[in-house]
Amino acid sequence: MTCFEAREYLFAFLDGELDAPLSIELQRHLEHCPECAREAEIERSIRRQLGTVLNPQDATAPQDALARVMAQIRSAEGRARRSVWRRFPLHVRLLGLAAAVLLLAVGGWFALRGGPRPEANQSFADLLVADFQHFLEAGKSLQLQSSDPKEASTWLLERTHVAAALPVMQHDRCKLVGARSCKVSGRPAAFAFYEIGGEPASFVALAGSDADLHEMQMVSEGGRTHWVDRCRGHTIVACITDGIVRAAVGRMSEQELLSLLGMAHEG
Amino acid sequence: MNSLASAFEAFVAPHVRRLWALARQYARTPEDAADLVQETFLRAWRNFSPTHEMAYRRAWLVVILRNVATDWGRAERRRIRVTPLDDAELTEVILADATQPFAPLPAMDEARFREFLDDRLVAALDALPAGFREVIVLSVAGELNYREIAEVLDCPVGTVMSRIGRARRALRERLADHAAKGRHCSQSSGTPGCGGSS
Repeated sequence: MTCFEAREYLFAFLDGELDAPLSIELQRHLEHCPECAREAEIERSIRRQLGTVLNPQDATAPQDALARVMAQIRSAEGRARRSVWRRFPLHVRLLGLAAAVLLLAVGGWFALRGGPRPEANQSFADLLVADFQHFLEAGKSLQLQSSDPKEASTWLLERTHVAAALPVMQHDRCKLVGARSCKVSGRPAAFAFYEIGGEPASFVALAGSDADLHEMQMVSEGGRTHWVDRCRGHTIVACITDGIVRAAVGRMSEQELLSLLGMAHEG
Repeated sequence: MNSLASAFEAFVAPHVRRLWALARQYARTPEDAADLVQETFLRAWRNFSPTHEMAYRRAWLVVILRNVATDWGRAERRRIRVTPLDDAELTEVILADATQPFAPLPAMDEARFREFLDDRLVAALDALPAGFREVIVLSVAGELNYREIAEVLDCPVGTVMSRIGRARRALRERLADHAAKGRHCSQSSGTPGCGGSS
């Protein structure tokens, strides 16, 4: 990528709006071009400062505004519903009540029986691989461009309330590219995008338990436990700490992926 | 039980903070901003339907807020600070600035730049053409991504990307102007017109 192209894409890159391949290319350019890196740093400063200026400290959200509107809405709706209901004769109202009870009973039976949940047939590893492939193929953008694990972890915590705790990498082969918030099985999840030896890899963290990982193979070594699985040419590794499931997905080795979880073996 | 009202509340609640930040930019005073947010909620409720594809999108709320601001701007301009432009006006603003879209950005001394950034950014932002200011407000205060801004402004995502690029470039140029003026003032203190921090 030339400096001209880098400047052309810089704003979209900083806004997290470039697709993953172009982001990686621009990130590489910034690593080798001090002038463009300096430009990016200045623009980051402006962006941060804009955030402060456009979200002033006194701009505390009027949470009660929504409460007031909802009170108005509920009161108006309640009056309307009662007046509509009273227009019907008694026997029609009784019939409606009986139908409602029947519906509740049928619904309750299905609920107790444990009806199928969305994605119930899909294993956790399968879901993570599908999500990773979708991210790459759909050209989904990263919402934060950062190679700083601390900055990305803080950003993810604010957006998803999930403590991603991205590890500091010990070697240059593994680079953090950026992050985005997402959902896995309807749960808020932290997503980080890495490059390991030029190959893409993802990190996902979400609140969960070992029940999420029961279909994966459990590996206990040196007092530490992780889970591993393989699916559609990808390796998936996972661990659980303090109620947070952390997982890494990619086409590289299990050991390399474990480094994204801060669990790589020394040497 | 009112499930539609509950669904509406659950949909709107996560966006209150962003709508408020946006309203603070569109409206002149905090009181007007509070009215703007409240009117946005009421209009959104009147049009809310779970079967309406747009109804669950954050951008939809911003479209409504912007429409309320537009109505206010027509009726009582004193309440509105950022006037939403229609597309034709915005195109004119952009074309006027499109001669050299990717020319080098003005050079700036980084240390000096950081020193004056805090107090001059507001002035530089206010000096931008309204259309440029609005895309920056939507992006930063509204935290909308380009696709959402495209929905709000009813234009293609590529257009949003170029508008934001040009808006940021224009902002940078104004900041560089301020920096140059600041340098001139600090070198010749007492120069008429350089006093104060306005």
